[in-house]
Amino acid sequence: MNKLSYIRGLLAILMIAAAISGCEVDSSVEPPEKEFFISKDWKIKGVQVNGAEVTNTDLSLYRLSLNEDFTFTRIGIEGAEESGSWNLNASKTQLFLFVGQANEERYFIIDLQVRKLVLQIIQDDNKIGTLEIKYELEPLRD
Amino acid sequence: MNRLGFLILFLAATIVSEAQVTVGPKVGFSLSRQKETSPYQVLKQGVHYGGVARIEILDFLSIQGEILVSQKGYREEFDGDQAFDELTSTYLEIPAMVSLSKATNDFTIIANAGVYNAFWQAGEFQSTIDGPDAIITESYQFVSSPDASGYKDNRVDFGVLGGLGILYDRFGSGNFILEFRYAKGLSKINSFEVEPSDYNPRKNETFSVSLSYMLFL
Repeated sequence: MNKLSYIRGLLAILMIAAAISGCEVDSSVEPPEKEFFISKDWKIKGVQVNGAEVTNTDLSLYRLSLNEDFTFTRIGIEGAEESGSWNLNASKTQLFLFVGQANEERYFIIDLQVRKLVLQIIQDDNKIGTLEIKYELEPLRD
Repeated sequence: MNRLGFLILFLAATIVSEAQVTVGPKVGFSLSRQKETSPYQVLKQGVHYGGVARIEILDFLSIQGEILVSQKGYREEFDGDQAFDELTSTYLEIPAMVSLSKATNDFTIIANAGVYNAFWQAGEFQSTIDGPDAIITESYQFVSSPDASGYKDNRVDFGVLGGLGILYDRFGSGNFILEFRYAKGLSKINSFEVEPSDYNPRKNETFSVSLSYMLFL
């Protein structure tokens, strides 16, 4: 066996490896939309109210599970669970949570990454004034 | 040290003193994956490098040990070429193998089988939802003890491996070994105190091609 044959053998093995890699790609898979990245189980990493970080509240119980079928389950910071449906607006910049028939929560999507979702909700309070609450969420590990 | 330990050490020393020992550097290319269920997962490219020691016990039988820095992980793509999530995990890996060999006129065919133990040293995510111009790089934050959801990273990986290769001894004073290897992790790299219903255990799985240059001691 000369060196040329040896190199041919090496190239053959590399081509087999590349072929194995190529076989894994399923071209029938559609590109994910933003809903794909949002439909996860999220937990709170931090909360800001009017720009000030909330530090005196235990947020560890909070869970927001946004399911692929556009239903959701939320566990509040005190452990209360509620469920409903969710959706995005046409421009994918706002997230709507529908709890029951009439209760709609509208969140602005400030930032969306594979491992980060920042939502903002604006609430008007007669006594305090306008509250801008910003939630930084991160996905549960899987 | 008890008598049995001393005897084993003595026998090992005797074998090694009689045996042909070769050592050398090793570099290679790998394709790996971790997730068992993901329609977007493709094989992730990585490299490995380190050192090899090979002790020939009999003409056809050797034992081989290695210490490697090895990249593993997963990669998820859509469109078949646009990655949206990739984890590059760097392991310090110690494979130990039994190697059978069969000489031909021009080269020696070798078949390896064994186990490996590896320690997950570091990890890096590269992800994007807006295409390759907006890639975000993040260090993997290890969870060493169960978090609020009961999740924990397992940084020690144990697995089995097997490989086929050829040893070519006509390059200078040493031998070249070209090997194609498959390694399957048996350890889950993540775990929960109470496994959720949609728990997707991740285990390392690697295909690799490597080249070693072995020098006689």
